[in-house]
Amino acid sequence: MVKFITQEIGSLRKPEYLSTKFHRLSDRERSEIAAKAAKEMIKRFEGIGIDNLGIAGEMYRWEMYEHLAKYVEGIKFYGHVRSFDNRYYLKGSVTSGLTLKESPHSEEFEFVLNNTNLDVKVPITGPYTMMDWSFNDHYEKREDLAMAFARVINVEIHNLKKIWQRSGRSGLLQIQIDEPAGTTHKNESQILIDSVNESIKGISDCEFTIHVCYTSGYPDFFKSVPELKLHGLNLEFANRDTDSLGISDDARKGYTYLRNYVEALETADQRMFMGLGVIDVHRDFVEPPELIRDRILYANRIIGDPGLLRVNPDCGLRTRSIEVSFQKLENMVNGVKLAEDQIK
Amino acid sequence: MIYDKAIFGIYPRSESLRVSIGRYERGKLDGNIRDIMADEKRKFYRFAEKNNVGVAGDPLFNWHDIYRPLFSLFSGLEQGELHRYKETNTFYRKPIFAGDVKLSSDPLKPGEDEFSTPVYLPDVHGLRYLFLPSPLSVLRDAENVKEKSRKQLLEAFKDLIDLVKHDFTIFYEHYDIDGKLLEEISTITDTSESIVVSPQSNLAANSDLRKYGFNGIVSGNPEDLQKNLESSGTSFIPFWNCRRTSIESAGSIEKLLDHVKGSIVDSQKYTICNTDFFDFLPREIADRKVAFDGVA
Repeated sequence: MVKFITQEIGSLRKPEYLSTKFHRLSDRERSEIAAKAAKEMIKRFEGIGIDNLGIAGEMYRWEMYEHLAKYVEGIKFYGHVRSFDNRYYLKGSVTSGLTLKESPHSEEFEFVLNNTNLDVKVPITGPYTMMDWSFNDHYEKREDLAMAFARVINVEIHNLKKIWQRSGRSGLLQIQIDEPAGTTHKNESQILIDSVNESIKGISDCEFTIHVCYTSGYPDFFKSVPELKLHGLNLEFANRDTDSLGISDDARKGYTYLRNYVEALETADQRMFMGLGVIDVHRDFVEPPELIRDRILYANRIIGDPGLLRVNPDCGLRTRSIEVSFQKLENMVNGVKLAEDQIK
Repeated sequence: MIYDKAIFGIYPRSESLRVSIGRYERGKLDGNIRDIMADEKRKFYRFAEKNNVGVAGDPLFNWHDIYRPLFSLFSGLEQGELHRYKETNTFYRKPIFAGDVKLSSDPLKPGEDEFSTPVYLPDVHGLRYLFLPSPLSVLRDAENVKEKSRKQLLEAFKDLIDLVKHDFTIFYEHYDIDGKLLEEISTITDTSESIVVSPQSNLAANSDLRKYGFNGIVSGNPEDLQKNLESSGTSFIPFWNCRRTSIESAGSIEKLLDHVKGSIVDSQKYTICNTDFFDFLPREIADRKVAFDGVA
């Protein structure tokens, strides 16, 4: 009997009672309201039957860069910088050596662990992305800054591991290194590899994955994969795919890079699993279970080993409404069941 | 040593303007966005004047990105999906050639969408400097470029420049400045009234830049500085680093200008400038950089 693990990737939209006053709340108030929101999300995740709820939609975090950067000594914030249109992010400036002030994820992690029996996976913004999205006014080279972030993240993973051990849960602590910027500079794949590996160096009994999305650099990324000391890759594909049913190459054109993944596995030391993005997070279109089934069947045919496949959305669903997000996730779970039935 | 200051391109929105635009987009703004933006521009020009900025083009607070206004000024050019601007975490909408391209809107007349049409808000500042992306950048970044696209786009640019009747045109080229670009620009406007700015250039093999007669060729490539100074009507010296938050010191400009004066070119007056957008910086840092020498 084939069983594909279903997993969440990242953030969900926050309920208005949290999002509209997130920055105006005291730390204590924010904790209370984020906990309330996380609890609501956990209930919804449990209701749809997903296997791994990630960190329940990242209710404790405003934005992936800012959340980690605020807990790092050596970073100053001078104001927002444009990302696109009138969308801005708080870009930090690295002005001295980096150290972790306090754990950015412990409170959220403990809360989620204590409030669900589902599997949990903690996303942490990766060292390369942190480097790329910061001003560097201290380190001589970009690789120096990436490695400094890697050492900060390594400390944080140790913090999370202590919580995991205290919780008495069985299995491995799951950590997802988020690297949306990981493929944006073509000549820097070695910096990505070295800094990601440094982030997890010396830490055992964990399952480490990387999340990359919306890149034109998949071919280059897959060349780097054999050197990454990870257990799995959680990647975006559905965004590139058609909505047509079927498992032909034409219908499933978004998944052609899976062949690069299969090639990468041939030279990798580890049989890294593939977290297959089957939900486009940038559209309200709710993928029917049959479409999700076909995406999985197609991937399974290329990979040839159902044990290497997990199923997830392309990325965090925060740009969709909560209702649409859970409709999509529920269909994902149902689509997985259809695929499992067909493969068994 | 005497120097002037020039600010090219998109200047960062203030926090309050950013918030106001956000409210405007959600339909929750009290007040008129055009008035708020005009007020912000007045403040910018006062700030520029106070800080000895002689060349302060429109800060382009209403530009969402480098190409956005072109989509409503030119028919046949549509906005596509988001694309990463060079290797930054900033994105622009990709231009798509979707028909015959020509100037179709009056650039001086506010359109329905405050963020696309007007080149300048007319009541705020004279039309001394018109800032535009270089036509070659548009062509290189666009999709569906046909054989006729280049000719049509250059003609549309020419029509735009002729209509605005400003004093100087600043072309921003985010790829290499090279001879081909300079040649193309010289076909659509008077080069003595044109300044070409780029973070990089590829001019080493181009022996005679003087023949183009540009008012300014400004490149972030330090190796091209001498050549650019010798070929330009105005002595622009790239100075501000818009990818770093550290503030350049008053001592560093003296040192730089001493070096330029002693070894490169003899001029009595220089204009220090940026070659990349200040929009890559938070507003507070951009302001502090411009006011680095306390000149008022």
